[in-house]
Amino acid sequence: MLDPSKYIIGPGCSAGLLDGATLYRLTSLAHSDVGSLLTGEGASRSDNPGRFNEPQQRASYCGTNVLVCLAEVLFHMYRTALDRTRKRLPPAMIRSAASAARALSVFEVSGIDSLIYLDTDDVRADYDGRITGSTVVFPDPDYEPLRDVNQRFRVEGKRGVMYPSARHSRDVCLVLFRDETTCVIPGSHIVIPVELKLIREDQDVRRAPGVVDAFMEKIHATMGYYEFVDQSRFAQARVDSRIHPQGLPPRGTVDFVRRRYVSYPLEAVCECA
Amino acid sequence: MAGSSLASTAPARQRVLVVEDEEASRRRLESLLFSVGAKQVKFATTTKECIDLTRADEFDVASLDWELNGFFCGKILLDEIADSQRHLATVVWTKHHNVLAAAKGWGADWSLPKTPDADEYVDAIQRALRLTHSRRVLEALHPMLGGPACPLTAARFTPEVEADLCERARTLVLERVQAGEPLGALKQRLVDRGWWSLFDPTFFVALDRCSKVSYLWSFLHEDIVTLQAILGEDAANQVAGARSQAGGSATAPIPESVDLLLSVLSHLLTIADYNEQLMPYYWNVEGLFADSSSRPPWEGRGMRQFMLVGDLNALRASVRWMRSH
Repeated sequence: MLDPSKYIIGPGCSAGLLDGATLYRLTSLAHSDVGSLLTGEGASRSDNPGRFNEPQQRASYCGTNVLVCLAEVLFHMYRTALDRTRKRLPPAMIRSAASAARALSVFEVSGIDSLIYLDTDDVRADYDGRITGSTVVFPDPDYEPLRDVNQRFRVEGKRGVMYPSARHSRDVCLVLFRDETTCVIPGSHIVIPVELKLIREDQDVRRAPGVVDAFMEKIHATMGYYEFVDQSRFAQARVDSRIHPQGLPPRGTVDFVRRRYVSYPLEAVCECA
Repeated sequence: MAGSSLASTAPARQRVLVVEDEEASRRRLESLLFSVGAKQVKFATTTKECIDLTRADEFDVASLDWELNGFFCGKILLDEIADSQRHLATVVWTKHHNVLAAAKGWGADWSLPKTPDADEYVDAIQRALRLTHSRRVLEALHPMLGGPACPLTAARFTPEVEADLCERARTLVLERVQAGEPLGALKQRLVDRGWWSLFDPTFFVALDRCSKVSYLWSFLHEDIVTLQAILGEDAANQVAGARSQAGGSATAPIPESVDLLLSVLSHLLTIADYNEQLMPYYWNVEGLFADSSSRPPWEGRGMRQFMLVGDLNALRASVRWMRSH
């Protein structure tokens, strides 16, 4: 079970991770090894900006909750499918945006200090008044004020930012600015392959989806599907209390918009037969 | 793998329905069928059980006893199967030698006498499995090829016919990919038959990065000379030597060119929708992005030719485009 005492927020907008804090990160299958996990090189090889990185600027995005990671990646798959269509990329590339094989990395880190917690009055007062309760979870992938403060945080020597996800309303995301590979506690890293799919607008959310044709069908704008491919490895991780939230089913349909959940994670995931 | 040798491999999916009322025969057949590669064996001991199973589940071969609980039920079973699973090949295995010819007349693909030596029975089951899968592949192919549907009977089902079907089906899948058309049911039928392999992410993530490059490179049907031209001799030899599962080397540093090539090959795998067999097409194709408003650096020459320049900047530019789209 995730130990909340290892995630420090405050005083003010300061934040940090204590020794043994668990993080989750969804990576490509190719770069799921511990040597690639927190290098930040993926972002540094892209011309696209991220929420907290300029084009070709190092950044590793993680979460403190598996559903945060799943929802974030599903949202970006959805945007990629739309962007590839807009740019008239080949049909195969558009279709391939609707599904992805990814690797969920579960790992613990040694203490990481000098982080910023974004959703505070201190950030609004000291850095940028445009980062309000609503805009801190601004729905577009790119929001100029966030990129502006990203630069200031980096200049001030901060190591990263903890911030609420724009795609899931529980727990937080974390972006790390530097190569933090040495912070991964040896032996704590496990990798679980997961299949992600965009679904049709009229998909029965309690059934595993088939292939979605982004040309002929309307893709669901707020929900997607995940399935842990290696179910024995996932089951073992659950038994070992490495999966947060507890009770996460091995496959299901999830929102990639923020919602209020009374019963969690029951209301956050429609388990698929 | 050459077309003809691939065509004659055992099917990947082998779900057997056995209709048999004698307990001793069921035990014998279960052991026998699993020993020759069956993945799943389900039994029916009555006509009703057989009908319920064939209506609820898809099988790849049916082994039928002609007499069940004192009644000759073979024709009823054959009619039911023809109705509910018309492509399912059937093997009648009975102690009643006098019905063997009639069974074939009523639609059985093979009919054999029960004998202590099961070699003939096993051979018939294995051929029947391949016949069922070939019929299903043919059915999936037919809407794409057009023309009159020609039923595939046991008598017409020769190795040459099977090899031709395998070749045509795989070629058509590649053509549809090149035309940007969806693959539909045909791909799954090929996967079930064993004529199309699926990428295994669990196996892949357990490899170290050099082994991942080596593994993905093998699908391009390229030689070491080409790899050397792209990566340089030392790095290429490091990749070529990496075949083992990940161990202590997972965190060992690798040359930047190898890491970049891993991203390139992963991109190929992704746009091939994780069909390894399609990777060579995307590796070699030219002009794929001709209509795009955001073309990659290799457009016009094809990725292979672009990479063969052997310049690290070509790899860097390619990966930057891939990660930006």
